Amino acid sequence: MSAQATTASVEGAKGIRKAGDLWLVRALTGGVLTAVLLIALMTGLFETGTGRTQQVVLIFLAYLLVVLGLQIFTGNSGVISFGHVAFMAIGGYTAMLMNLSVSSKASQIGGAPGFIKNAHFAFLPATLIGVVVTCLIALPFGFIFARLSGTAAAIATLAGYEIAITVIANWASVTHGTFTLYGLSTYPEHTLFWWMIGWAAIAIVIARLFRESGLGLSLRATSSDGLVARAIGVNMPLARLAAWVLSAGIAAVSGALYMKFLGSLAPTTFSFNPVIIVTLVMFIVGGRSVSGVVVGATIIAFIDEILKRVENNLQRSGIEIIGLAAIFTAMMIFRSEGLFGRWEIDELAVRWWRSARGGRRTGKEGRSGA
Amino acid sequence: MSVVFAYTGSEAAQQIVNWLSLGSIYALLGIGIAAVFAVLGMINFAHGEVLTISGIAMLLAGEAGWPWESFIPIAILTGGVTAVLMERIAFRPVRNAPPLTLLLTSLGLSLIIQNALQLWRGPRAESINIPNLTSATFHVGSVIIQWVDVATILTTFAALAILNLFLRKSVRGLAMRASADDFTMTRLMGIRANTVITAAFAVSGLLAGIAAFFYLGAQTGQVGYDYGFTPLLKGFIAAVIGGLGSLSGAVLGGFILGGLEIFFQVTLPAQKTPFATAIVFGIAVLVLLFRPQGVLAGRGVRIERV
Amino acid sequence: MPGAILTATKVGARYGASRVLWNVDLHVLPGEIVTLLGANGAGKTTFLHTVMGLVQMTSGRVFHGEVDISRQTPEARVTGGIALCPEGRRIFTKMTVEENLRLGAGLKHQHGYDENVQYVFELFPALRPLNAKMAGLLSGGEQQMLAVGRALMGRPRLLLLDEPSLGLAPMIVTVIFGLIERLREEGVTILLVEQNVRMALQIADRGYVVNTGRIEVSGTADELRESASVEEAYLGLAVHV
Repeated sequence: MSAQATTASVEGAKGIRKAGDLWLVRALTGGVLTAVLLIALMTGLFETGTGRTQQVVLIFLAYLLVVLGLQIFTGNSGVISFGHVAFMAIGGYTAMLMNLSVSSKASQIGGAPGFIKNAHFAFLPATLIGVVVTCLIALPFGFIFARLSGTAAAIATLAGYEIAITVIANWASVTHGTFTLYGLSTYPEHTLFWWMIGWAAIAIVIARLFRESGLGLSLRATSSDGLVARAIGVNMPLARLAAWVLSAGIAAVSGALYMKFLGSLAPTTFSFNPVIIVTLVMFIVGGRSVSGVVVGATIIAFIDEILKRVENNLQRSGIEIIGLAAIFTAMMIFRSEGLFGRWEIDELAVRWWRSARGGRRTGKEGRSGA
Repeated sequence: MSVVFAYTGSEAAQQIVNWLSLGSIYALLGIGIAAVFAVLGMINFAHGEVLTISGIAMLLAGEAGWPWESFIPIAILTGGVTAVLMERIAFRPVRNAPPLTLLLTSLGLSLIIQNALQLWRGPRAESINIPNLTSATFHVGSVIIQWVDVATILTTFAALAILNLFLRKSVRGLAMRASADDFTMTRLMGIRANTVITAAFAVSGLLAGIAAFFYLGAQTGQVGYDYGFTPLLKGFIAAVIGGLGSLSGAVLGGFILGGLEIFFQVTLPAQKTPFATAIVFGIAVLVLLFRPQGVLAGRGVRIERV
Repeated sequence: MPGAILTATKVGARYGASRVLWNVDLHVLPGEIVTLLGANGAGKTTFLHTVMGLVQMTSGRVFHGEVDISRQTPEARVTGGIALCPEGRRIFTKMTVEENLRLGAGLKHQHGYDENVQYVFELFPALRPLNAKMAGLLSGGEQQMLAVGRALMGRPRLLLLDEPSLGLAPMIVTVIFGLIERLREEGVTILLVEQNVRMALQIADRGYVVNTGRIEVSGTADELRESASVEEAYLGLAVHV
């Protein structure tokens, strides 16, 4: 493959071309581009929109983060996970517990251990603690799940989610059980927006970097065949574990941001409904490309918002999910690789550019054609 | 733990009846999942909706003034027809897709049906017009036994016996067993793939109908758009414990699951019962990981050994 | 080929993205035993699977008698009178001999079941006492007999046999090949894929040599037998016949 890359660069013999073959540069460029697009669009919407629009944008960004997290794992390894909303929950609850004022905690979870009761951190450290805790919890489960395939992974991650939510809902001394954990001082909309868009941009770049890195590549190339992986010396369990933990961390950030937006948390915040929505979005969109996920999620969010308004106008609940599910099922039947298949926007642009120039076909474009 | 051993004989007998009754329903549900998995390699997430639709059929029959006895054949028939239609409409187009796509398609279908039902009948559960069957009891010594439980157990065993005959004596039944083993070879016997797959769905649907009558009709007496979710989970866990793809395993799995639930119900304090579901789910995952062929060595989910 | 029971013209086939057969021309006349020879992976099994409709054809046509079966489903080809006895036998190991045979009759030949079973037991008397035994417990030779017997339950006119001698002791192989000849006497036409060149050419009328998805040589059994260079070049072994 590197021979082809060299050929391509010799063909062009331009400094930019040469730099573009470095995966790091490609990933960063692509990631930053996508992030900038997202920032531009969301800022436009946010600044010009009504209060309702702003709410929608904020919720969208929180969900986008968990979908991005899922993309890092599922998009590269091909293994499905129903459990990432659980990471959102764990991250969210941990961050909340760290960010809540001591007095709020005393009144709701008086029985909690001291280090939880007395801790009080600002939002950023609280978020990071949430990430660390979630990643630590994800690690041992990753050992198990990262070895599973298709159906087994679906079952196991679903079970993991159920168990996690059950624990949260019943560990009343720490999480306030099934009751709402409230009392968080929230940020004004604008502040929240910049936090969320900032994290989203970071997540996009991270996801892109992972995708193009050695780990990501080896995952993508061998996602369906462990035997092939072994044969070419790829340590697939390790690669999958890395993707799993990384994706858990991003999902945890999503949870932290979401709880800051809500100001309170209850186990029902992370009910099966979010799991469904995240899964639907992920698979309608396809998941193999980061920019594809971002663009696709945005489109789905638009459609979803329309469906919600129809639902409100007609006063009939169920329209939103049925609409999404119908699109999703149609996708499964007609185009199971999702809307955007496996190409990043910038990769598509490059391919188009090269063919438009009538250049000689060099087969696989650099290293990203997996 | 000592609580268990302090049980008197009659209480134990009570729990045994409960166990057999619950296990029967779970066995029926488990076969529903296992049969489709055996033949197509897919987990049918929409299986719960087969029950819901059977329940709605009973509901409508009740509204139309039909006698509750007619609910039994109505539920069974509706179950069978629904399952076969599902296959024909939603799963046949994706038949050759990888198992994951099939699973996701069934998830999508499940959501569509659930929400369509919600749009049609509203979000709240409705009562099925069935007399309170659970109050009919008889005594054996100091043990009070509900006729419903007896009926559940007897009907299930009759159904299983018929199923067994079908699988052993009829060519379509033999073909179902064979295709769980080697689908291509079965086709090379001149037996059409559609025939076998339709048979598997029919079996799963008919049994789901029986389960719907006893679970939704007799025990709960209600049906709502999302009432299929719990039966799906149960059937699913039963099938996994028994080794996905093994029908006899699913039966065994159903009784094991029923036994575990009764056990937890008896031993855990009331606030902790949600943990029972989590624990059982966890057990199912452990089975998946360490003994994917289940208790009885069925086909099992193929675990990719990396 | 007029009068042939099986004709393949310019057949190409692929597995997924890779081409595996190119331009295969082959025919089998009624009552013949035709053998396909070639090294491992040459495409012999693939060809049989293409005839059965299990492999995607990219070009060419397959005829059963006068009927173009190129677009038929595998099941339809079977009920039309072709049966495959696959490599590795692939009997249903968790079912009894009787159940295997019953399945072999498919849905169409159940009414003639008793008669057909007697016919199979007459051909393979060793199977009769094993009727209720689990197929997975049979010996290699018994499993091969069961596999062929099962294929015969549908009363095929054309039988495709894939490596019937694989994994069997030489004595059993002789028995099996004797049975194949007996089948020809009974009026069954046979297309035989074999690695055991010597035995195959002993009973075959004609043969084709397949090499990396193409027919390299064809001729009568005598011609192929005498062509030592054929055997050496394409089968990689010096065969002493």
